[in-house]
Amino acid sequence: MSTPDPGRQPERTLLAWRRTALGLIANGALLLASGYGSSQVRTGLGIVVLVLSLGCWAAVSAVYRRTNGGAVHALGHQNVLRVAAGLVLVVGLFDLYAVVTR
Amino acid sequence: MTDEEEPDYRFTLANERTYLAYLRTSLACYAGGLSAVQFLDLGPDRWVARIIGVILVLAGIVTTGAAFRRWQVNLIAIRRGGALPVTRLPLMLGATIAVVGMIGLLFSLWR
Repeated sequence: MSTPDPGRQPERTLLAWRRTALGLIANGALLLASGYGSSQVRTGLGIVVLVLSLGCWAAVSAVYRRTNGGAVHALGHQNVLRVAAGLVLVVGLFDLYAVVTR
Repeated sequence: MTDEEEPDYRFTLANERTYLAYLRTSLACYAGGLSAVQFLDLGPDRWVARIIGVILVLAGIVTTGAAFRRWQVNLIAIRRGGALPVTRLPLMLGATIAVVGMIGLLFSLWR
């Protein structure tokens, strides 16, 4: 637990967070590009998802920088993971709406 | 009550990465579902593409919820030094993707 060498574990975890944020960004872009609903709804939902995902990317990167490579407890906190699940769920509901109305 | 203790942080982080990998899987399911209704051209009607899209997006939503639950259960098991419980999530995902692939294949051959 108190090993002097933390290894690359926090870094790998940050990269996993970033890949997840990238997946969110891709979904926002797809929502904008796909032809569902009216163009106002489409643009609104797409932009909401894009902003949230870019915020997710920025937040995990900032947390990692602040904890100086630790990122362990800050990122591992239950609420952060709960927020992540909530974000992905919201994107999923948008996508479900898009698929049904397309 | 079983004793809980702070586990090696590497296990905690590995559990977190597994959770994130599941989240990415659900995001990929969403993207696949959106792409199916957007780009699949299976017949004059859109219903095949729509079925594929709905199945994929629903699978993604189920994966998101199950992944969070799984992360919690694993965390508790790790803290108590117990065995990690068995999950059917990979089976569900694999079966769904296989079914969707079969539907797509059948219809593209049939057309």
